Amino acid sequence: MRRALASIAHLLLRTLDPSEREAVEGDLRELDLPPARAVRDVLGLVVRRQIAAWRDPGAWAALLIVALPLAMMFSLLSRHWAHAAAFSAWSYIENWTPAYLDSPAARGELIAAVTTSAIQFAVLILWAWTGGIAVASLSRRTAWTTFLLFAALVFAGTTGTTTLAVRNPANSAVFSAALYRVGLPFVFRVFLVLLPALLGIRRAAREPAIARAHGIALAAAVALLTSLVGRSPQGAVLYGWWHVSSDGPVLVAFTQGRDIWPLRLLPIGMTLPAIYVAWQAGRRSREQS
Amino acid sequence: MLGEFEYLVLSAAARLEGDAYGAAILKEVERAARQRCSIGALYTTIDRLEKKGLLTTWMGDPTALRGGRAKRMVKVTAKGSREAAAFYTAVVRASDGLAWQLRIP
Repeated sequence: MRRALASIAHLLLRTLDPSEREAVEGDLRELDLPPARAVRDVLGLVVRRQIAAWRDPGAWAALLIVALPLAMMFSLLSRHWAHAAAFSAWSYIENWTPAYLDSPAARGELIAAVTTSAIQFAVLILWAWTGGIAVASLSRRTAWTTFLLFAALVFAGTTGTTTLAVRNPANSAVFSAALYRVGLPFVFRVFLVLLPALLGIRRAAREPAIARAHGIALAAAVALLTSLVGRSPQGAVLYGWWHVSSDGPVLVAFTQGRDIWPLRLLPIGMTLPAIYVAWQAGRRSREQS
Repeated sequence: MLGEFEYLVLSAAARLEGDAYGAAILKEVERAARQRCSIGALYTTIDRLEKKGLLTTWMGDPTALRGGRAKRMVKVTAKGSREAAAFYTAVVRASDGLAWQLRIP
């Protein structure tokens, strides 16, 4: 119990600014407070600091303009692409046969499946990483609270819905397995979204800004990969967001042929954090020179 | 005008002089007020007083007693001393002739 409380206090302390963390850690050690009181005291300080930090408009910009819209898109995209990857995994891993290498056409299909998945993995990681950097750059003090809300929405954003792929009875061989239906989206969300976003936040909070050349290269790489995934973000919103109870998309109005132009802006929206990171790197570089 | 907790913190920091830092101020405030003081309340009050120009703070040297962690040292400014004196005077005036005056155990 003592150790658990000490760990909680330590975890809470990590949300404070480094100099304040050092001073408070030292005070706790010197005062030798009972662990429960130490947790209560540190929690009180963290809550007061958070309340103060949320008075900054940058904190709300990071949450409402960057984190939550990205989280919703990641929620849809990660599941949509995980279910698409499930087909490849089911075909090429679970039902592997040397015939997949026999003809040039079969080999081409295999290469295309691997390449598509690799691009999707890379672009998810880069979108999430640059999103994390953008969030922490806009408001470092609220970055961890924002990350918790981001993570909650990444998992909860698709609650009560499924994908067209799962709804299709022809795919039951693949999606009858919980591993493909639930497990793979979970893995995508944890390892391709949350982990890179977390590393992005840590990168922005602890290390100096990215060099201008790296920032430009990063934005270019993200733009290139985004162009390669093409209309997939649009597809994730339309076909990766299906009602569980009725056979129809969540956004019925869009699929009935009404105006879908806002969805065309989604890939641009996903690249905005990378553009922001490059712009910020350029600005820092100008300030230093 | 200061708040009463701000006054307690200023008084503790002034009493401790060159050895005023988080843990020492906390102990001094608890001794004077005879009630618990939380680290959260203390540090946010120190920040507020510093913003008002009543205190200055800086990071001191690490010590072995604190596991090698530095102290956040505190010093009352001249403006802080004036504000504390004004608060004390107001309290003394307000208490003049009242039943609880000078009933300090």
